[in-house]
Amino acid sequence: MSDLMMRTALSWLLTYALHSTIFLLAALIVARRFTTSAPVRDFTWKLALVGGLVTATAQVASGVHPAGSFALSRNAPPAAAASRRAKDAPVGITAGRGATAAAETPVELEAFDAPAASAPPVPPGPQATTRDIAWWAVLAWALVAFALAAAYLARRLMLAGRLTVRRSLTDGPMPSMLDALRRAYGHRAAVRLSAASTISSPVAFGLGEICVPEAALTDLDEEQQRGLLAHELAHLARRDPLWLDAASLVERVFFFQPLNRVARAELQRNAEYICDDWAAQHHGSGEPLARCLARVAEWIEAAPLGVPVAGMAEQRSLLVTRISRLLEGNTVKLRLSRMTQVVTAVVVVAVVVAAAPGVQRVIPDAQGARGTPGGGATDGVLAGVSRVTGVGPVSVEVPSIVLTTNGRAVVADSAVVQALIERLKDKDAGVRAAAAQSLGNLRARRAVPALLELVTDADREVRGKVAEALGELQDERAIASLTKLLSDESPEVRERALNGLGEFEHDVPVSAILPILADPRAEVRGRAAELLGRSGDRAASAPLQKLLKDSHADVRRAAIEALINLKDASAAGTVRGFLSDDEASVRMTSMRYLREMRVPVGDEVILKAMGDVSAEARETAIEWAHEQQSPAFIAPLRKLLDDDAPSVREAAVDALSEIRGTAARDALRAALNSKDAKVRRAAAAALGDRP
Amino acid sequence: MTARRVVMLSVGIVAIAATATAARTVGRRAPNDGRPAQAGGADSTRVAGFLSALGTSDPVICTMIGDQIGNFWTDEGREAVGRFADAQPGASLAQDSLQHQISNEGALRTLVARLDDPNACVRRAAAKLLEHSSAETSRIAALLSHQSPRVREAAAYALSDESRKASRADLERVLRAGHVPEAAMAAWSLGEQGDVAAAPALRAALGADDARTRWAAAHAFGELHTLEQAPPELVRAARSSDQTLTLYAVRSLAEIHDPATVEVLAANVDAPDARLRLAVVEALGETRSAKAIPALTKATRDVDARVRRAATEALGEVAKD
Repeated sequence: MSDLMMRTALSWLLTYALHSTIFLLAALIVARRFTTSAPVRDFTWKLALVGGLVTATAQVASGVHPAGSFALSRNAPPAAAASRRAKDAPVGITAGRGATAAAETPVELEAFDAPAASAPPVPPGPQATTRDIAWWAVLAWALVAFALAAAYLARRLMLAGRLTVRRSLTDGPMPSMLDALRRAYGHRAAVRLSAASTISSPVAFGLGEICVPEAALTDLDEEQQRGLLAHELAHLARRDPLWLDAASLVERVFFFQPLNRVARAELQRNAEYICDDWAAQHHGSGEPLARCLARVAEWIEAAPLGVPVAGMAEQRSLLVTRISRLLEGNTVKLRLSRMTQVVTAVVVVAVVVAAAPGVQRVIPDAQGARGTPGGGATDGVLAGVSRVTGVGPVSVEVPSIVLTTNGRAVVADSAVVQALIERLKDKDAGVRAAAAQSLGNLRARRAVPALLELVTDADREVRGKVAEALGELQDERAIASLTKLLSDESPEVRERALNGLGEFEHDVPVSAILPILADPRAEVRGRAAELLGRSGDRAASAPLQKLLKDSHADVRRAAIEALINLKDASAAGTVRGFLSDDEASVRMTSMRYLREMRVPVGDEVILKAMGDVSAEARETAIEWAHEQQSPAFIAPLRKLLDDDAPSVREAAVDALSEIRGTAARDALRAALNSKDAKVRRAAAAALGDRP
Repeated sequence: MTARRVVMLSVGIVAIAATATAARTVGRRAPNDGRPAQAGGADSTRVAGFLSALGTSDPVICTMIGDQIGNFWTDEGREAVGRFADAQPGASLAQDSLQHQISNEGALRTLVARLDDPNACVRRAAAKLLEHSSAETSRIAALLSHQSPRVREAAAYALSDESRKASRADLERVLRAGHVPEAAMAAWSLGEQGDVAAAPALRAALGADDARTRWAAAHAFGELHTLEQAPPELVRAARSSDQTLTLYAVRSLAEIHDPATVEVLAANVDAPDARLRLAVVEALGETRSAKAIPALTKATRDVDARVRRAATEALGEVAKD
């Protein structure tokens, strides 16, 4: 699990804990105080059970963070952070932003930018991070949830095992009764009726099976059987078996919410009441069902089925109440239409999403994201929200952090970005330029379309900043526009466009860069050569070879390096001539070219390079000689052991160490008398390693 | 040509000639406070001629030259580029000589004497030259007790350099005494010296009766570069009904970069004075605090383009952090 996923999981769990508490407590109050209607209670508990899951998911996914919300901090553990305040101190949990600062009283455990007054600095050194705590918390939850869910499923499998011996009932009075009841209920789905001796109470399964105890076929009279079937059919019609399975799993997976257990029990209780009422209403009287319940209760042995099922008399504690209700005709008439249920559920969920506080995830900052294993997340994934307390009379959304595929953290999708995009249309060129620069800084990719509109801006500073920003954003939509800016009248804009294109890993259009090789500015020509080398396109070879004649040394060097990158050995003849170039960097790059292209050269060429006036060039030539392993180099290398430059002396002794033979050994022995201690040590080590 | 113009022109020619002559004279070095000495400082003739010329010139010209002392001088004499071909090289040399540290005792006495000049511009120029001179700090500090308030003020000004830190206690004494006008100048000089040890005296000065002293004290905090936490008195000053004091306080808060000041800074984002709003936006940007984002976002829609630009630039940095 990546850091992002872990933080998302933790923020979702904490948000769910908050929201489910709100839903379930509200359901408890409604059920206990405001209604006695079993259908209303049933709907309320179902909404409470599912509502927390829906609203937590919606808030975390959408990034909505109402007043009072908390945010996971970057570095510090929540518990520790609550007692720490320091300037720029990392914090644990922070309260959320209100709609306006004037209306907001931050529910603040710790602020991101806590006032420094009386603030002891956070002690440096190793400390538990939020990420560590989050990892452990999520891991612990997952393990316990898995264990409880597995235990539940195991018991379900045991029940299924007890029912493997059941037989289908196709003949006799009960299947006929069931068909009649189905037609009376308008229940279109097929219902399988079976009987088993291994159960003591009728049970409804899945979407379409009722299993009765064998005793029900013989010990119940016809009216009682009809009541039994009506009751179980009602369970199937209401999909109670599925609801109870779901509630049981929620109860176990989200074990940290004890009210889920209450909700599941209430669902089970109300399901029985409602099914009793259905059966009684369709039968005309509750008395047969009541007698049936009393009879079934006698069959239930000490061991119930063990898992919550839509069983007729599984909850023996309810039997007395249910029988009383049936005998007294105390059924409830108040029902909620499906439309009412849907509208109510949507409204309640929307209100909770919009108004209930949650816990937002916050990922590490840009540096942290780069340094975090697994920090590179999917492009465009909304990954973090930082809290901003409204300041003074103004308030604004906080910037969200988006990770690109290469793991670069960027800030985007916020009021800040929107405000900057608006400024791209400012009448003042300076403001437009600043907006472009800031959008580039923030890696705000949604600003790309607006930035593209400015590539033809009348002001060259604006065009230059836009080119820079488009390069920063690395959005492929910008390549064409950056290419167009390569022919801008302003050399600064051309250079920035070239640099912008240089930010792209691929898709650098060689054909667009080639004309730039003739740019009057050496920096631009050199940069263009570099990009051509990176392109990997051999079509750039010929123009680059022309550039080898450039009057500016940096351009010649860039051209040689580009040819190395293109693995083009066809310029060997020209490059060999650069071994006597006036500029040391060109001579060194030429040596590298000849080495990497494996161009055969005579020993005299390398020997001459070993006498270069530049110490760096001599060092490069020694490495070249090192690769040749030729005894011809021993004497000059021995001479270089006394070179003025320490790096040359060390390179020489290293090269001698790799050459076998008496002459090399003698040279190393001579090196033992060197004034340079490093050379002496290296020579001693090399002699010690020799056979 | 009127008689007055003839006199002014004559004085100007004399001053230029005097400084050109003096440019070829190497001034004698006097003992200083260990501050770097420079060769080629002007002598008394040159200094006197220069100050006299300033005193008779147009006040605008005098002020501009006073501002330029120590700034933008090339010290390239005859080889200076960017000058007209037929310009007199002697004038350039004379100008450069005034940039050098003045160590000639006669010139120093002239400078001290002109600290009491009735022309404020001349006093300021003299004080500025004295500040860069080799005159010992204790010698200038002693002038803080001069009977003339003009001399006391100019002396305080002449101490406004980091190399004159030895006078901090003297300046603080003047500041505490609160006499106008030298108290305000003492506050300013303490800031220019950049010694954070002066912060307590400056905090007290923020409550001075004299407005100029309060302004100078507020400004001075921005010069104390090692200050990392904004003093409460300065934060209060940023909430002052005196918009000038608020402006100076906000500018200093911008230098201190204390994130704890975001709230008070943001409260001024709607100030009627565009200079203040610009200072607020720059200060908010310097805090690098996410709490500054709402106010900065609002400022991107300011009526003043400078404010919008500053806010837009700051957002790119603050939101990135």
